[in-house]
Amino acid sequence: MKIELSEIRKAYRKRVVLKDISLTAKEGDCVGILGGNGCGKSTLLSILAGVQRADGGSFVCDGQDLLRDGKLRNALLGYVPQGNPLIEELSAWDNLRMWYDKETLRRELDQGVLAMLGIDGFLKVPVRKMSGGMKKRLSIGCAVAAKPRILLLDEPSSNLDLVCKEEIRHYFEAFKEQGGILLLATHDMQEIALCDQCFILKQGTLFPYVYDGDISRLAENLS
Amino acid sequence: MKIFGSYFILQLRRTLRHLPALAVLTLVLCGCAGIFAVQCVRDRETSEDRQKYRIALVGETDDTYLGFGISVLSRLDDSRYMLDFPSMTEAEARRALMAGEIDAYAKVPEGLTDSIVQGTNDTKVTLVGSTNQKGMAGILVEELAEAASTMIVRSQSAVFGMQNILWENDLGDQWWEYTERLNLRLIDMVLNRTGLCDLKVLGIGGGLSAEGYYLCGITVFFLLLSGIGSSPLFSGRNRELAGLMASRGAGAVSQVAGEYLAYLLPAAICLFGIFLTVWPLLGSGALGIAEWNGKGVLNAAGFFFALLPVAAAFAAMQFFVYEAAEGVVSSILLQFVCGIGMAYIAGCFYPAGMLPDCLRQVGEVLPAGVALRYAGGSLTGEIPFSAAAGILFYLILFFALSVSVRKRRIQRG
Repeated sequence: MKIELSEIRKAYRKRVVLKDISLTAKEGDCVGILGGNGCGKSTLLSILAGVQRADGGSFVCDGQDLLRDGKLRNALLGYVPQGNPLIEELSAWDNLRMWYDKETLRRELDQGVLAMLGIDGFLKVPVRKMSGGMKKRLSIGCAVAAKPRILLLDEPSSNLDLVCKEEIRHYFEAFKEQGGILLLATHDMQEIALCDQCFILKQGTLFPYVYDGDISRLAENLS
Repeated sequence: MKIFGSYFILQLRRTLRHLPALAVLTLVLCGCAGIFAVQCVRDRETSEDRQKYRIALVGETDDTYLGFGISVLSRLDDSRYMLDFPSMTEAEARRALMAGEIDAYAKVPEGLTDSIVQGTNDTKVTLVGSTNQKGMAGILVEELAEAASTMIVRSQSAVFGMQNILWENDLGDQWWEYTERLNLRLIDMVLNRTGLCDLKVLGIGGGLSAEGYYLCGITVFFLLLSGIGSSPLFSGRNRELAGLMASRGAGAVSQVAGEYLAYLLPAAICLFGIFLTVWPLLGSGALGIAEWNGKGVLNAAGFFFALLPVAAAFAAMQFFVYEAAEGVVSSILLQFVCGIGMAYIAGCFYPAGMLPDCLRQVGEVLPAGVALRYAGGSLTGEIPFSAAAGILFYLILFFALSVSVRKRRIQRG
């Protein structure tokens, strides 16, 4: 499996947010999109996820344009937005039931991806009483219900403690090993270290970037 | 479709979780609205002992002709059922007006009868009210004055015309006899004027009895305000979920439909709550609806059941307000202002006929106005097609508007 983003464009009236964004990734790749606040990372991911419409361009996976084929996109792609797409008053179980049928949910909680994310430990807890890490793991759990092969994550580790970050990193590594493609919009060093290729999104344009552990140089490039 | 079903069930669960709080909030609101409504109804002075309007007569009322006219109005004319004319001095009348014992007083100037008899008509009766608004008493007196003026001027023309004919035909010596006969004939015609037409009382609004009208008005008003109590349901919604659902194929229509269908539950419960409040009143006979002919409890159940479409249309309107407004506080304020404003213009507090024509016409097409007509139809068992179509139109309109707002919100990210 291979994905190819080609000349994706987006403007809000006269304000151009994305200018001809192109990149490619293959099975088991993790691609990091870096950039300052408001540079358009979230917009790019939401376009790829089908939430917003692009003004132009394509997102091809094995010859099929996922921007035009909603069914295929739903089958192949999982999306974790920056905030938590959860219903606050309800428990983890209730929230998961929206995306999983009962049997699959039990199976996944026993030995599947939900067990790996540790969600079985707080099934009955209402979302409003959960920590940030619990909410993020639950959000990922909801996003991967359809067993996607491409996962889009918008700043998945922001505001999480180290233990939680580590658990999520383990899950990402496992996802990569199974041949999945990860596309991360991130600021987090641990996540950047996980990426096989990185890009900096600046003034609507995507620039390739090789992260060498030098944070000062990265900050200089982002500003 | 699977996501829509699951989402609807989750929304229903949310609603059920909030139900106790919703019920308490709705109860408090309905209580406040009820007190306000009762006050409004009392202020309309529809109770039996305040059905007559009292207009005091001040000034030269001892004149034989004027005394005869007042006596005829008070004892023989149909207006005796509506108007009372006590005689007072101006000081007494002023004090009585300030104390609310009379609705207005009329100052009769000196020489009024002479000016009428001589045909000069150069003096006028002055009507003094407590406010600068006309009010029902003012309107009635104005109508009476108009009728009296017309009758006097026409009678004068007839009398003077007849006298001219008598002089021209050398019958001047018999003018007194003929004038008396003509006057008696004219008085006879005036007193028999009720024989010229039938007075039919259609009710205070749309042909409904006062109790029926106010039941409809207060029910519509409660339903309009019921959305305020549902604010906790709308505070927990998030854009991220909307975005994720859209990316999974459940777009704005599915989302709004799932949430709206669940939101119908509190709307229906509010309607049921009003029924439960009215039910014991009907059962005990404390509230009698003339349209129901004593079968109040049975008819009330049918009436409130028939109002479900109104509750659904108002739920769609409230849903739209919550969807369009940013923040819970602003949406609650908007619900409140819209509810009170529409109820006022549509005539939920008192018959819309009291309002100026332009306002009344606007009120008739507003959701509350359409709902009031629909409720009136439900009460009599004949729902007008236009009202039913209007309710359906508003339901679809507000649903579509909510969908378009949600779509925009998802697109904005």
